[in-house]
Amino acid sequence: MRSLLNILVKELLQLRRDPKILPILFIAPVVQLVVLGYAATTDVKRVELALCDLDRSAASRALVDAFTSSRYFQLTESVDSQPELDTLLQSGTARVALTIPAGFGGERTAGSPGRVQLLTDGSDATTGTIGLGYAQAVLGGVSSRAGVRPLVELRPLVLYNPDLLSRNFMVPATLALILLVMTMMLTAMALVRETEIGTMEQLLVTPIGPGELIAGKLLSYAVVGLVEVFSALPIVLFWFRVPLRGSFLTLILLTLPFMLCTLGLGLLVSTLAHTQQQAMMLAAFLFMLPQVYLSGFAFPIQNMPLVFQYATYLIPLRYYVTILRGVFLKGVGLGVLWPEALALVLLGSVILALARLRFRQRLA
Amino acid sequence: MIRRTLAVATKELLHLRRDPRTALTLLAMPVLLIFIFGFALSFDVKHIRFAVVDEDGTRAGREVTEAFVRSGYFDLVSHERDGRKLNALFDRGRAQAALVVPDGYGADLAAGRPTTLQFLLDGSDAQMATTILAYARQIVASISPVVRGREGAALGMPVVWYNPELSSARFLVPGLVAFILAITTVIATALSVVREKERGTMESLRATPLFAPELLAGKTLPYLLVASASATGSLFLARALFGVPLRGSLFWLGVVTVLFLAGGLGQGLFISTLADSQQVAFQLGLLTTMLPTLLLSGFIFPISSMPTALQWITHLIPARYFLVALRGIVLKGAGIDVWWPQAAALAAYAAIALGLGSLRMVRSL
Repeated sequence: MRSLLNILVKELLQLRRDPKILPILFIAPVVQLVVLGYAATTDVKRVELALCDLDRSAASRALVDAFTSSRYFQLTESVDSQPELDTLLQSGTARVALTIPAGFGGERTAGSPGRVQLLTDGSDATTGTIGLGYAQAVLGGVSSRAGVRPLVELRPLVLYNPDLLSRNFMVPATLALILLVMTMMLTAMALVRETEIGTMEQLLVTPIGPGELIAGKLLSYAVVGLVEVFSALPIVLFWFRVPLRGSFLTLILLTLPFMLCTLGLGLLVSTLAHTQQQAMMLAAFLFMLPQVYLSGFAFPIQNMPLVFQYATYLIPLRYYVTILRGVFLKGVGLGVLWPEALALVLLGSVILALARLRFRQRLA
Repeated sequence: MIRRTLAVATKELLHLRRDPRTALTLLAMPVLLIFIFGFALSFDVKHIRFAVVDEDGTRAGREVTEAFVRSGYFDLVSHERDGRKLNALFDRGRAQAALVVPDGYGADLAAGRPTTLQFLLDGSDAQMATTILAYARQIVASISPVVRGREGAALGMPVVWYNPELSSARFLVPGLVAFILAITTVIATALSVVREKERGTMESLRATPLFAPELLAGKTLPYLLVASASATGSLFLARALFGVPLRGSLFWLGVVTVLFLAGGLGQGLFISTLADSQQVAFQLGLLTTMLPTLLLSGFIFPISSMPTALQWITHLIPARYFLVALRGIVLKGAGIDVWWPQAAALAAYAAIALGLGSLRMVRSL
């Protein structure tokens, strides 16, 4: 127990002595949070709209007004001929192009539906789909103001995130990313550095057993991870105003099994790498990126092919992202989240056991 | 001059060959990512877990449910007469959307009275919720009879260009190429220089009759090669597996790519002069390439939706320009008249990054 503490102190001292790693430790999470919170918005707003009004009647002007006054579109350019729209779409000046053909107003006042053409730049599939949806909604609004109304109306009720802010979805999950990056990478690099510099041998000839050595190392980075979470939480709660509907205690309690996994992965990476460069590359590219993409962090798991969906069950981040979103947005506790917690504990134990085994083999 | 540059380049390539793990990671990462992005990831919303509470129980109610299921977007997970279980379904994530057909819906419809359907949805994932709601609106509109007014309706006829199936793979894969290139060039260059510093072999290199420019060129060339190879490979793979077309000119694609790569190499050199340890170099490299390229370049998240201040910052991210040009050439078949501003920005960035990087590097030598 004493030797465990000694290693903990040594490790934290070493972190403090490296003047460049310390700011990174604390600035990187803040930068990540702020940038992700603001940039990772999949809300499609202010879609760039180009316009070609060939009708120039009161009706067409009313339609144009409806588009420009809706908060979904920003009019970037108004042209007089359709070929000009092509160039605008090609250069990306416009994402959606609206053509109002001559005779639109005449048709509508005669009582028959007036037709307009919507061109969408599909190269950005997200903005394309949503932009079209918005355009249809604006057109529907124009029709219903004219008294054309469907008999059945759909009354939507949005749960958990009534303003549909993607920030509320992304920011809590960013906590998971920060933890993953910091604990996994730092553990891996700290262990490999000892091997690289040759101090691992020195540590092993001390009366400290390899188990204690590992435990001490992992514990110190667990402390770092928790500090990171605590320093990031105020930003999440007070800057981005993401609601924490569940209990704070549940959040911290369920963070521990996730850190078991990330620390174990760090240890595993350290046994696979000979140099710090390798450790970083392995950790970042082969362990981190696939995890991030397959965790449902940004891309919904339900859209993946079945094989990939099964693969996601092996990814610790998947469970923790579900936990974070559940606790923050849905306010659920262990009663609902116990399967995720259990999965993390199991995965963590397996990863640690595997890493421990490889570590022993490396020593022998 | 050329011989000595080549000597350094050969030495660097040998390093790469001797370190199969790093080389493998550099080569395996693009392939892995292309597979994941192409096969697994998409923003297309399908298989929406859908619950129905049919309080009405008439044929009209069943018809609405059928219309949702028939659309192919909704997977029915629960069908009940009352909504007692609904909350638990949403809390556990078993249902993402629910339709409530109120009592009397069928009677209202038969009598021609306006009526409403309630639609509940899990808003946690805002983007998905928006899309689901749009689907639901379309479905309900398609089954609802219309009350005629004084004027006719305004109907839009949508036409989708460049990517008519609106597949995300086509959109994401070019972005992925930019992402891979940015990371490999910047990080690999920075690390290769800092490693020499860390091990003290930089001193030995300085003691050789090498000029600083020769050393610089020799250090960066191999990574230019590796990065170009992985870019070409990625584009080929994307084309073979996902049918990502190449509509524009290959020559201009090459030119734009080299401009982008040159900037990345400059950035890598610059970072290497700031960092003393590989750990710091790597973190700086990640912070300045991976995050911005992933988040601020328009790769995944639309720039036009960001706050204005952040939109200004995106102008400093080279990948932003590269992506516009790349997507323009690959997906739209656009010529240089369309994307010359982006190419100019890339050239300026390359000049500045390479200039600053080599200046600081030469000074530190």
